[in-house]
Amino acid sequence: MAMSRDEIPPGTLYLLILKTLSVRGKLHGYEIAESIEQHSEDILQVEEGSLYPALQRMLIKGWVTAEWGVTAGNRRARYYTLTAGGKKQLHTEISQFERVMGAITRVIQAA
Amino acid sequence: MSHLSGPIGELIRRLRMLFHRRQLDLDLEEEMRLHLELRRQQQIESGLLPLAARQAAHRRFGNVTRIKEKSMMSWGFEGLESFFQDAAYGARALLRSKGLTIVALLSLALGIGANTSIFSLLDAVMLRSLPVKDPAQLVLLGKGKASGKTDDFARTDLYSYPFYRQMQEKNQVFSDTAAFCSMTNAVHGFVEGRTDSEPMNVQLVSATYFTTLGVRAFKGRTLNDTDDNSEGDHPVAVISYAWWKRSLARDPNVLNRELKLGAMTYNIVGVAPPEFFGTKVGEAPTCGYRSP
Repeated sequence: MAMSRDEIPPGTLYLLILKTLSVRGKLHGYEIAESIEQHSEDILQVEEGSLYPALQRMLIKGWVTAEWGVTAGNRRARYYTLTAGGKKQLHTEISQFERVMGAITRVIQAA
Repeated sequence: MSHLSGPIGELIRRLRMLFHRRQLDLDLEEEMRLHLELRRQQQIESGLLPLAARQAAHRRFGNVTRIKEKSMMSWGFEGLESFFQDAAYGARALLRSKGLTIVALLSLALGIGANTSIFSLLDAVMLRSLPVKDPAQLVLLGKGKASGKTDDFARTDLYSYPFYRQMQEKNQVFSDTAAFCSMTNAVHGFVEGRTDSEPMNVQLVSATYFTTLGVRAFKGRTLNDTDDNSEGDHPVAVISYAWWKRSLARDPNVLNRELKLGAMTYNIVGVAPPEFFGTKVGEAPTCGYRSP
C-alpha cells in the first residue's frame, strides 16, 4: 500500500521532531514517528529507529526533556517535551531550512 | 535533565549520564521494545498475519542493536571516560616520581606568584587611577617625598606651610588647593578608652585636602575650612577605613572619640572611604590630621 518513500535530507530529522513536539506537546517515540508519517502523507520515509539516536542528541543539547509515563494501553513509555531552548532551535532551523530551500528553488527555476 | 543551554549544560548532562549509563541502556531497550510492539500491533490491524507483522515492524525500525549503539554513542561516554583514564594515569605517573613533581610544582608556583605580584604592583601604580574624583585634573607641586627645611630660594621640590597659605589666598589657577606633609609619621597613638598605644602612620594635611581630592567621608565628615582657620582649637583627625576596620573593628561609635598623638589630643571626625589610601600608592596612612 505504501508507495516507495523519499528519504529525508540529513539533518532535517531534528526539524521534524522539534516541530512535531511543538504542535502536539508530549509524545513518545512511536507517536512522533506516526505523526511525521501522517503529516507528510506517507511520503517521508523516516527509518523509525533513527528517531532514537536523534532524540538522545536532542536530550544532550537540551532541546527536549524526557520523562517516563504510561500510555493509553497501560504501557510504560518515555514521553518527550520541548524546552525553551528547543523552541528557539526550532525557529533557527526553520529559517535555515527556508533559506536553503529558497536558494535551491531559485536555482531550479532559473531558465 | 538540566535545562542549562549551551555547551556547559551539555557537559553537565553528559557527566551526569556517566553515572546512569546502565540505566540509559535499559531505558533505551524498553523504549525501542515498545515502539516495535506498537508497530507490530498496527500492522496486525492493517491486516497482516502476526509473523509478517513482526517482520514488518523490525524492517521499518531498522537494526535495533546498531541503533542502540548509536544512541549511546551520542553521549560521548568514550571520550569522557578516556579523558578520566588519562588523567588518572597522569596522576599516578606524577606520584611515582615525587621529586620531579615537587620541583615542577614549585617552579610553577614561583613563576605564577612572581608574575602576579609584578602585575599587581604595576596595576596599582600605573594602570589604576587614584581613587579620588577626577584624578587627571590633579597636579602635585613638589615631589611629595622630600623632607627638610625650605630656606633655599626657589626650591621646587618642597614648600613650606606659609608658602602654601599664600598660594591658597592668591590662587587664580586652581579650582582647589590642598597641602599635605611630605612624610607620614609613624607614631604611637592612644585611642580613647584603650590603655595600649597602637602604631599608626599619620599624615598632616590641610583642611582642604579631602575636598580638593573630592573624597567624601564614609562616616562622619572630612576636614573642612573651619578646621584650617581657627588657631589653637579643636584639632581634628580623619581615620582611614582600613585602620577603622583593623583596630577599631568598625566600631560605630568612632566619631568624636579622642585620639592622642604625641602631645596633642585629636577629635576623630570621620572615616575615609574604603578605597581611599592617600596620594601615594603603598603609603596608606592610618589617619590624616589637622592641627593648627
